[in-house]
Amino acid sequence: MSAVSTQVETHSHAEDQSTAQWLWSILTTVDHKTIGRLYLLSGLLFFVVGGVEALAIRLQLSVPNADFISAQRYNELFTMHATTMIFLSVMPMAAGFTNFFLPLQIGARDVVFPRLNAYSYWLWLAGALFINSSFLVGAFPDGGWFGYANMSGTQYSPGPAMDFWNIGLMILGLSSMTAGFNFITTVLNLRAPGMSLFRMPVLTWMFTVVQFLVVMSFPMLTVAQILLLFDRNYGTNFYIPAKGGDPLLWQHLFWLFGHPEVYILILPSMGIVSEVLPTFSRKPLFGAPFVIFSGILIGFLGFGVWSHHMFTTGLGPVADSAFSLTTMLIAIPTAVKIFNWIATMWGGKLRFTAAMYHAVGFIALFTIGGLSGVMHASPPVDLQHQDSYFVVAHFHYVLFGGSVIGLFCGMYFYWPKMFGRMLSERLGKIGFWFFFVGMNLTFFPMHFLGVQGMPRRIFRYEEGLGWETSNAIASVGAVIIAIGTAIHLYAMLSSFLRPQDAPSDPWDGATLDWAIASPPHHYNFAVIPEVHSDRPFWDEKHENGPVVSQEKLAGPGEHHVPMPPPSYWPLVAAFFTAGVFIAFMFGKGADGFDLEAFKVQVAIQSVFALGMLLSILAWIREDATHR
Amino acid sequence: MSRFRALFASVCASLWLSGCSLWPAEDNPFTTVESSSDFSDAILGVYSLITWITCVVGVLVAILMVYVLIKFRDDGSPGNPEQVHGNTAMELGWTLIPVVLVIFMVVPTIRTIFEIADAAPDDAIEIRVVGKRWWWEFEYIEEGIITANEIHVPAGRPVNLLIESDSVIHSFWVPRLGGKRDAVPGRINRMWWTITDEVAAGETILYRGECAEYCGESHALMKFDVIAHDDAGYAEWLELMKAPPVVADAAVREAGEEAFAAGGCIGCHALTNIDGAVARIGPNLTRLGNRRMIASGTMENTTEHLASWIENQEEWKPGTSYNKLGDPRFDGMLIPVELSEQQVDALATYLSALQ
Repeated sequence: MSAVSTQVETHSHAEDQSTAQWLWSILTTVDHKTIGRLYLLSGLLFFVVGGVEALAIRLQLSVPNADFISAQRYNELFTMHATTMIFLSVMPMAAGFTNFFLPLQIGARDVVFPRLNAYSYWLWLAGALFINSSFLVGAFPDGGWFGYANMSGTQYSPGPAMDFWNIGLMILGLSSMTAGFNFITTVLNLRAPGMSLFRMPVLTWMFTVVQFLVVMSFPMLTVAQILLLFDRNYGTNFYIPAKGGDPLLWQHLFWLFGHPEVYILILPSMGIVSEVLPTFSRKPLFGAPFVIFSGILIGFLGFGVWSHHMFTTGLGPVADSAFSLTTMLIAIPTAVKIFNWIATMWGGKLRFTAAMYHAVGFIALFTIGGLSGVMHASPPVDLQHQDSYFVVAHFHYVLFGGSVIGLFCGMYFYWPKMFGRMLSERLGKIGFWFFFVGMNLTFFPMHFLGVQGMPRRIFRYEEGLGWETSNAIASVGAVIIAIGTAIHLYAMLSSFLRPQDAPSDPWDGATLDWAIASPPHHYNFAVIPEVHSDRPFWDEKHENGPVVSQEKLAGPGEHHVPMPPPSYWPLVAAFFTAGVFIAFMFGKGADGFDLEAFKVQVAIQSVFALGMLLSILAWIREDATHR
Repeated sequence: MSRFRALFASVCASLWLSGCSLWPAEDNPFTTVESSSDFSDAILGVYSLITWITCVVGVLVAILMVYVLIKFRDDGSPGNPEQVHGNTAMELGWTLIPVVLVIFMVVPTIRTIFEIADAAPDDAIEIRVVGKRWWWEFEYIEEGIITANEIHVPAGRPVNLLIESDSVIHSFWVPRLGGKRDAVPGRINRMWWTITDEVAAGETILYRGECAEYCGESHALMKFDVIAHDDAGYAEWLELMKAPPVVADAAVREAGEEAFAAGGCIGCHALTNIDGAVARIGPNLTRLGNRRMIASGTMENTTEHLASWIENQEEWKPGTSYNKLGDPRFDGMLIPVELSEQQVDALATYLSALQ
C-alpha cells in the first residue's frame, strides 16, 4: 500500500491505436487481464472446433449401419474431440477466469510473475496449434485421448499421429504447470492486507485447489509420456508386453493424472457457481468453510481413486475394494457442496438472470452426473458400465452439464467485468434453454444405451439391437446444443459491436473485483484496499463496513501505479521451448533406436535449446523496472 | 448371515423386476439388466440396490430444488434477506446423510467383489480366450479344440475363461452373462460363470458378446457368440469338433483345397483336414460352415458373404487387409496372392461345406 504513488500517469487505451500496434500490444502483454481474455477466447474457439467434431460423431451414429464417416476418421474424431474439449477448451476457459479474477479477488495488481504468465499462454497456444497441425500432414491422432499403451506404441501406431498427440500434450502440460506455480505463488504472496486465506472468495479457493492439482498431477502424465516417447523413438520397452514391458503401467500413470484432471475441469465451475448463487440470492454462501474444505477434500481424494478407471483390468479384489471405497467417499464432500448451494438459495431473494439460470442448471445436471458416478464406483456395477455408453452419459453430465455450463455461467456473470460490456440477458436465457434441453436429449438416452450394452468408441452399430431410438434422439440433441452454442457466441460477438456499457458493479457483487472499474484499469487497484471480512464490497454497501471501492478510496483523477513493462521475451522463449519438444519428432527410428535420426533430433534440439536459453537470459536481463 | 443375504437378494431382485422389463433380451441382445448367469445375478444384486438409492436421492434433490426455486423468488420487497452464513449442526447433518448412504452401498459392493473373485470350481470347463485384431480365438484347453468367434457351452455347468491378448488390450464382454474382463497382452485374466437359463433338449440359446475396449480401427466389428446347449447337445458338439470335417462332394473339396493352397491361406489359418494347416494367426477355419456368423460376429454366414469377405475384407472390416495389420509376424511371411473369381468362389463353397 505504501508503494502507491499518486503521480499522474498517461495511461490511455487510445482508440487511435493502429491494428499493428494493437497486435503488438497483445503479443507483448504481461497483463493478467489481457492474458485471461486470450485464454478465454482461445478456449471458446476450440470449443467450436471440438463441437464440430462432436457433431460429426453424432452424424455417424444417428442411424444404424451408417457410412458417412470411415472407421479411421471416426476414431480420429473421438480422439480429437476429447483432447480438444479437455485440454484446448475447458482448461483454457477456466484458465481465462483464473487469470482474470484470481488477482482481482485477492486485491492484487497482477500475478507474481507476469512474464511467466505470458509464457504459459504462448506455450499453451503452441501446443494447441501443434496438435491440430497434425491435420495438415494427414495424421490426426487416433489412439483415444487416453492413448492406451500398447496401442500407442509404434507397432500399432506407426505413423506420426500419436507423436503429435504425445509431444503436443507434453507442451500443454508444461504450460499448465508453469501457470500453476505462478498462481500458487500469487495466492500465497499477493493477498491484500487483511485478506486471510479464509477471507478469500470461494472462486479463488477453487482456482487455488486446481493449481495444486495441476502441479501435482501433470508431472505424472509427463513421466508417462516421456516413457512413451522413449518407447516410440528409441525402442525402449516400458509398455511393450512382447518385450517384457507392461501396458498397465501406462494406465496407472495416466489415471494418476487423469482423475485429478477431472477435478481440474470441474472445480473452477464449482467456484463460479459458488459466486453466482450467493449474488443472485442476495445472501452469503451457506457454510463457506464447508464448501472450501469439501473442494480441498475432493482434490485430495482425487489422487487416491485412479484405479476405478481400471476395475476391468483384473487388479484383484483387495485393490478393487479399496478404490471403490475411496471413490464413494468423494460422494460425501460433493453432496455437501450441493446441499450448501441449495441452502444458499433457501431464504434468499432469487433473481433469475442468465448467469443464475446456468448456475441452477449446473446444480441439477451435475447432481445427475455425480449420482451416476456413484453407481460405477461399485466395481461389480462397473464391470457392466465400464466402456459402455453409460459412462459416456455420466461424464458428459459432469463435464458438459457441470464444467461447460458452469463456464458459460461465468461468461454471463463476468463478461461485463472482463470486456466492459453487458451480455444480452435474453439471448443468455434462450441459449441456456437450448443447452439444457439439447444436453439432456443428447446425453440422457446414453444411460439407456449403456444399459442396453452399447460399447463406447464404435464407429458403427447394426440394427435390431434396440439402440436406434436413443441414438437418433442423441443426434437431434447434439444439433440443439450446437444452436445453443451459436446463440451464446452471437451474444458475445455482438457485445463487441456496442460501446462499453457495463457498470463496475452490475450484479451487486460482494467481492473486491466488483469494487473496481469494468473493465479494470491495467493496474487494477490504484489503492490496495484493506480487507476486514469475506465480503468486503458487500459490507461496504450494505453493512456500513470499511470502504474498499476504488472511486472512494482513490478519489478522482488518474494514478500512477508502477506496473511491469510489456515484453516479447515470453513469446520468443515459448516459441523456442515448443521447438525443443517438437524436435523429438525427428528423432524417431524406423525400428527402434536410429543413430542418424537421433543426430538430426539433437541438432535441431540444440538450436532451439540455445534459442530458449538465450531468450530466457534476455528475459532475465531485461529492464523490468516498474514504470 | 445367509438369511440376511437371502433377504437382501430377494429384496434386490424384486426391486429390479420393475425395471428389467424395460430392456428385455428379445429386443436387446446386449442388455445388461437381464440375468442369465450366476455372475450377472451377483452383479445385479448390487446394481439394483445402488440404482434405487441414487434414483431416490436424485428425485429428492430435484424436488427440493424446484421448491426452493419457486418459494424464494425475489418478490420485489425492499431490503435484503436475512444474512445467514451457515449452520454447523445442519451441515454436519447433511454430511452424515451421504456417509450413511455410502456405507449402505460399500458393504454389499465389497461382499460382491469377493464373491465374484472366488476361484472357479474344479469341474469348470476351461476355455482360453485370446483377443486378436479384430476377432476372438477360443481354445478348449482340456478338449484340445480351437475355434473362433463362437463358444459353445453347456448351461448349468461352470465355465472358466482365461482371457489374454496377442496384440493390444481388448475386453471380453457378454452383457447378459455378466461383466467384462480386459484381455491385456502379457497377462492372463480370469472370469467364470454358470449359465442359469434352462435350455430345452435339442435347442440352444444365443448370447452375443462384443469387444468393449478400444483396440483400433475395427474395434466396432469385434463381436462373438456364446451358444448354450443342454448337456447332451454340448457333448454332441464336442464330438463333432474333435473329428475332422469331411466334404462329401469331391469336386468341391478338390477345387477348394486347390484354392486354399494357391491363396497361401495355410500361412495364417488352421484347418484340421489339411496337412500342415496349423497356423494361428488367422481364425481356425475348421467347421467354419457351422458358425452362425463370419468376420467375428458381423456378417451372416453365407457362401456369398464368404466370397465377398475373402475378396474385400478391407471394405467389410477396415484395417484387416493382410498387409495392414501391423503385425510383425507377417514380416517375410507368405502374403496371400490374388485369387481369381472362380478360385474365390470355389474356396467360399468349400469353406461353407466344412460343417
